[in-house]
Amino acid sequence: MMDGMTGRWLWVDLSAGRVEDKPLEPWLIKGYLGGRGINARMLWDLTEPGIDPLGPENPLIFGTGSLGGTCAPNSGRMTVTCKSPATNLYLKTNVGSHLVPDLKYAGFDGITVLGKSDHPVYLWIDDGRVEIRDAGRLWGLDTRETDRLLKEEIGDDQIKTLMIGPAGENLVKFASVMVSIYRAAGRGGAGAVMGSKNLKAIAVRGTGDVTIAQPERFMEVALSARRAIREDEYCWTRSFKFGTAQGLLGANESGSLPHNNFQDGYTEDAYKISGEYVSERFAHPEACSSCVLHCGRFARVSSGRYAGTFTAGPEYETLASLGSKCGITDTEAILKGNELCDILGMDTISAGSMVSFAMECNQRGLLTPEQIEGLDLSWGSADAMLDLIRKMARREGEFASLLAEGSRIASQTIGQGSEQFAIQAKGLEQSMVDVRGTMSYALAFALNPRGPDHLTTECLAEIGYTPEVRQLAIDVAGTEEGVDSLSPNGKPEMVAWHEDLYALTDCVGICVFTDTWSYTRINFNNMAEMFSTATGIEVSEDEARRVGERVMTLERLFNLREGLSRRELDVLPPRMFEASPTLANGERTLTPEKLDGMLEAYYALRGWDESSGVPTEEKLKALELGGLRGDDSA
Amino acid sequence: MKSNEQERMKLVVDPDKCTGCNSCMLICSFVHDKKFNYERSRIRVWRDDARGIFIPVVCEQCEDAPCIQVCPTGALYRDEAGRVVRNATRCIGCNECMNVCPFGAISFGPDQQWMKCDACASVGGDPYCAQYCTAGALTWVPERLIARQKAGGAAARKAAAATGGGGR
Amino acid sequence: MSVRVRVLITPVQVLGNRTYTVPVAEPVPLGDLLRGLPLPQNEEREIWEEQHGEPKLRTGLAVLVNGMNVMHSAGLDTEVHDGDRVSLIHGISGG
Repeated sequence: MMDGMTGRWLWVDLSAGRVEDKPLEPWLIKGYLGGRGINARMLWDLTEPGIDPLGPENPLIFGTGSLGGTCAPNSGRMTVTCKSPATNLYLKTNVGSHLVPDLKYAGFDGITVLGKSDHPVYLWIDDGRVEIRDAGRLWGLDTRETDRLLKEEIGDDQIKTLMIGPAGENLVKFASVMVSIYRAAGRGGAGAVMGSKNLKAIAVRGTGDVTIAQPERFMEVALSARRAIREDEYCWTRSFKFGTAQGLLGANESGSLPHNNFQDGYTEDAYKISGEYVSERFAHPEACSSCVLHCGRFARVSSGRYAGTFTAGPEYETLASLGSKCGITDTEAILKGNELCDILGMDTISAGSMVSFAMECNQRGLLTPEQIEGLDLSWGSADAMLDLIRKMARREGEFASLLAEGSRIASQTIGQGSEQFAIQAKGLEQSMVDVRGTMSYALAFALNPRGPDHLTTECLAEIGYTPEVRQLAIDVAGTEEGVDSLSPNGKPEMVAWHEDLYALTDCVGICVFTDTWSYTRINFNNMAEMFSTATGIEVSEDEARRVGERVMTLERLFNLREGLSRRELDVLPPRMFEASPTLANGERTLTPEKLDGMLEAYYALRGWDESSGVPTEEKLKALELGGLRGDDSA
Repeated sequence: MKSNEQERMKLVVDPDKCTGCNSCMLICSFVHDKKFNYERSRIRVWRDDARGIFIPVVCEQCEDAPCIQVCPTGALYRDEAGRVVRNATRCIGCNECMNVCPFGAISFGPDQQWMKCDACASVGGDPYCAQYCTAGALTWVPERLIARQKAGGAAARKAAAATGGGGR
Repeated sequence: MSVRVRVLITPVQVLGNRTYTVPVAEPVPLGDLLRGLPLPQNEEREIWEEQHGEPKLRTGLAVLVNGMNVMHSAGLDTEVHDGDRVSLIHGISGG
């Protein structure tokens, strides 16, 4: 056993019905640290281009961060990695997971699931003892029922569980993997991959030790980072009180809260879906393992039409996606929709996007009454939103079944120009930020290997509201224009820096929100030091940053290996090139040329070929990825 | 109380505030044993994931402690700060204290060591769990001020409800 | 002839979602407009704090005029006109 990590990985071959635990190779740990990094390299090594994401050759990889199970601040994050059935490209999806410490204490840094079982099964990991068990009783059940029955069958209500709901079983393209019922590894259809393998759940109990190489120094760095985050009173107070929806009203006032499928960015009654309102009336804080910020929510509806609703969240994304994006400000209905997505196991971002897409199709008269099977798809129809969520999860009816394929396929099928307002790129629905208002987001969303969302990076410094953060943004960008939201200048520098930071953070398993809600409290340096003192494997600040860049580059290589070029990869939904009436006085803020300019400057900055956006051989060698392009002999 | 007397303190648990982050368990485990393992934590957060209820369970340092009463050798006693602590030399490992504790606050750890929260008496300083509990569910409070704190908290909740606030 | 000022500041129990409509006969500097808001006494500190002995806009608070953040440009010297929409907001972050 090593320090800090367990040094062991669980390999589950569902086709053979066999489980094996193998040591993690030292080069993998030193080069990729853990979590997202190790997962990415494994995915590369285990796959050929062109495999079917819903076929047995697609590995499903669960990686704890290196610091999982320790008191390193906010270290309870886990990455789930596979090829996405929505995009046919690289997918990593991250989840706050109380399963992480138990898995480490059980003796495993991660799990790779291969093949496909011929009948529904679940995995039970009880310290070193691992069993593949029949899940016939669980198949078809929602996540709450699954959790309850697992705990009953195993006879311990304190085990940690991970599962899919009916959406994953029905191979919905945006089915999620849920942890402890309510926490989602949401994006890209990882739940469908799990469903395609007939894997219903994973249950874990761990009672072993995670040891630390240099306990005194680790303690010093970890505890001082905890105190520093906590002392950022501005950040902590808003996170604790209002969760991720803390900025929703601000986004609305800036005209960038998606409304009616991004037709504009302002909602009149946005207060009803604000973090402030929700936390005042419905929600209280909850938190991931070892968290300092406690941005999580649990929400309860005690009266009215949706009385009895109980769910985790709602997050900003959900309030926007099931709310303003559909023209809905009925808070309780949104909470109900959130609950349905959680227990049915679906990504709220994509689910809401399918509803708003359908609503816009309806607005433009592209659908016949027969096609929409009697639904009232007017903007603001909460009934339609809830109805569609239920139906998409189970593929009930032709219309919901089409929507369950995601907006790329749905818009291609419906045609009639609907591709123009499917807010998706590469096959993944965009998250709830109107990137027309901030150029760093526009660039980051276009470059994100899994599709247009904010989880490779949010350059919040660009819109930073404290003098220190503003200065940091200017320093990183190398120009004052870095904080000019509409200027393309300085944005490549900001995006690259933030991407490396997020990638490293995902490798060590810390929550990326600490990176950018509370700038500098978690940084390249203290993450390197926590890793080094925990594991005894020396990683300098520079090497740590390089791990971040290595992971970003490898993720791009995966997509290039699938045969796509920059013209197909570094893209945004078509609507992002239209003007928004609520931004910049209704003038267009983003053109393809402007995006190209930022992209090409970014490619050059990264040491990639400036016109093709392909990492050069030189660059790959410098990142110790030499030989990985095309033929993966390295 | 004279100014040179040690103030009696108590670790107060407010489960309503617990967000289930488990930081207390992680830090307790590490501070005592230099390793991370929930089984090495003297405080245990019991989880109801389905209903979002988290309840920290820890030695209450009972006034009328059943463990002290049942101990056949007098190994368990109360120190000047009010903490129930153990004289290891006198302990014969009979487990009666474990059997009688209504909270399950006494246990054997992974190294077969006797474990119970001693409010960090053995590691020096005030309880780490309370220091690092960001939700304020664990607080280290002078006994004479506990009622004020709890009443104040309850009053604040009532006031919030009266003025239209809710949640928690 | 008025500027609509939305005060979207927390704690919500105290301030919440409040809108003031302020009459302006001619363009007025933003700082003056905000200083003149008829806020209840205990709410002033939600907007103003002392930095280096001088009252400044509270850390983390930004002011948008017609949806555009003016804090990176003319700040509180920005001229506000009849029909403008002013919002005080906290920093945006997502998730």
